[in-house]
Amino acid sequence: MSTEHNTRVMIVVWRWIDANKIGVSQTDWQDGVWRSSNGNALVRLDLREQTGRADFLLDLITKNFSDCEVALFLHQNHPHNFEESERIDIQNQLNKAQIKARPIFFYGGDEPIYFSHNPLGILGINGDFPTIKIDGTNVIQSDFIEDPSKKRINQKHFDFVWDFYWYGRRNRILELSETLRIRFFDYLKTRNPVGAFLRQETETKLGDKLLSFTLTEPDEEAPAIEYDMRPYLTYFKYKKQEDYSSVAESMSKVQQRVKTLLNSTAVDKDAETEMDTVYREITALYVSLPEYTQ
Amino acid sequence: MRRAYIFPADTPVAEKRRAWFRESGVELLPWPGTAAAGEVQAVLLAGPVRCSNGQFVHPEGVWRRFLAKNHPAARLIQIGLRHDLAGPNYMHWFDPPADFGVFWQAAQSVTDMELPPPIGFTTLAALWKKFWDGHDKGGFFYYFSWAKLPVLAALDNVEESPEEWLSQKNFLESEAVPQRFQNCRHRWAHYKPYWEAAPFAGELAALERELTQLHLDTTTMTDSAATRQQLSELKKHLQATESTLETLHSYFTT
Repeated sequence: MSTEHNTRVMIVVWRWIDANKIGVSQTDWQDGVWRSSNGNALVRLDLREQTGRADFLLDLITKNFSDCEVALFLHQNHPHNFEESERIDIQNQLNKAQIKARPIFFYGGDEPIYFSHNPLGILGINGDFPTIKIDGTNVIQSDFIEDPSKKRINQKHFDFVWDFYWYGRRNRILELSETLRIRFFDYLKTRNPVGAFLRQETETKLGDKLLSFTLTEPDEEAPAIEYDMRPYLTYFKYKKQEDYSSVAESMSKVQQRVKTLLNSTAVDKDAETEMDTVYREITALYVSLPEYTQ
Repeated sequence: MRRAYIFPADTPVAEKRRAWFRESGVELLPWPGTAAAGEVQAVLLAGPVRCSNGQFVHPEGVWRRFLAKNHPAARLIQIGLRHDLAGPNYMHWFDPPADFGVFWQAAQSVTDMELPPPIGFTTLAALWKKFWDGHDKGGFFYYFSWAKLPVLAALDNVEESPEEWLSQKNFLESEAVPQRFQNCRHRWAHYKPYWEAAPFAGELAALERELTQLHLDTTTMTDSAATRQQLSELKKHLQATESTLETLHSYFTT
């Protein structure tokens, strides 16, 4: 994978056992910073439910990491209980500040960020870094921490977790296919030209999502950033040694198919056929994508 | 005329499609909830279901367990746009069978059918497990149990020795019982949107009403009588909550 990118920062708000439980006015967050060999940073925060914590995070990022790429991991469970409205608010503010940052939810212990479910995970079980886990009769030792005295972490782990969450689009594709399915169910009631019918849906902003999905040129603005597949295609480009060219081809084909559907004037049975084809191809694309790019 | 329910209840169905069902002797109705459903003959389930938090979930397993227990002869028919799930209990919405009556006859009852493995999204049962067990002692069951036991113990002690109300109040505070109840409510609030995909929304709403009553305010425990009264009330809500939880929990677990 290319190393030509801005400094990457993962801020993980979690119940760290030995990180300061910080308040929104505190400035000692630097104590929780660990770095990998190429200078990427992991910032550990334990920011419990309190008024102003979104502002604190925004302030932290804009003052210290404005020229970095920032993955902000927000723990959805107790005792942090981050909510979707907070995540969206933070994302909007970061977009306004033109900072390349992405707030990402995690919870439940069974995501790849956790060592218990991924040897390259970066979180242990009880608010600590990963140590060992038992897999059947095997004892697996994590090598995430390289040098505790220098707060040095393993680049390989950092890169995996970063790639997984930063570029992950696979689930967005599945969500898109099922949002389409629900919209398609409605089609028989309206019998309008199918492209306009899809673009007019406002409840889930389906038109924005579909438009974002179809973008391929670098200077086009995506109205629904999470459905913009260009980072995914970039990721495939980085991963060319693993031969993801066929997946990239499938992606491009489905993008074109969706673009055609958005402009389609087909009605009735012809519209159903087009919708059926898009649904089938987009779900097939989902299945073909590497599972770890959730 | 036979009756088939469709879920989610707001799944759009064109009048032309309703007429097509009627021609096969089937009236298609939105799922009205367990109390109003009467005898359930068939449920058409359009999954995965999108919940109000925008997340999708597969509820088929929970529906099957619910129907198998309460309506064992019912047909659970999945509807959608998948071509690879063709089988006696799957109907493609754009490519329906020639005669739904014949399809109905061939569909397996909920106790005999096999569900295809869910694709992509998590299942409702898996979410319940996360809600219930959590990880790192963070599950609803942990907080509920460790809030309930001190309350019951304190109530027993106050009833037996009313003069010890203050030490019982201190005991409840030292056990962080108010915070544990709060954690229960937090976990419920976090997972609540997912339960919309379950057949028993009414029962879950009743459970939520009970959960809002699980509240311990030690500042009003100013004497033996006030302590006893609050704990007695709390005990009733705890028992009602536990009873409902036991019933619902069985639908989420194999």
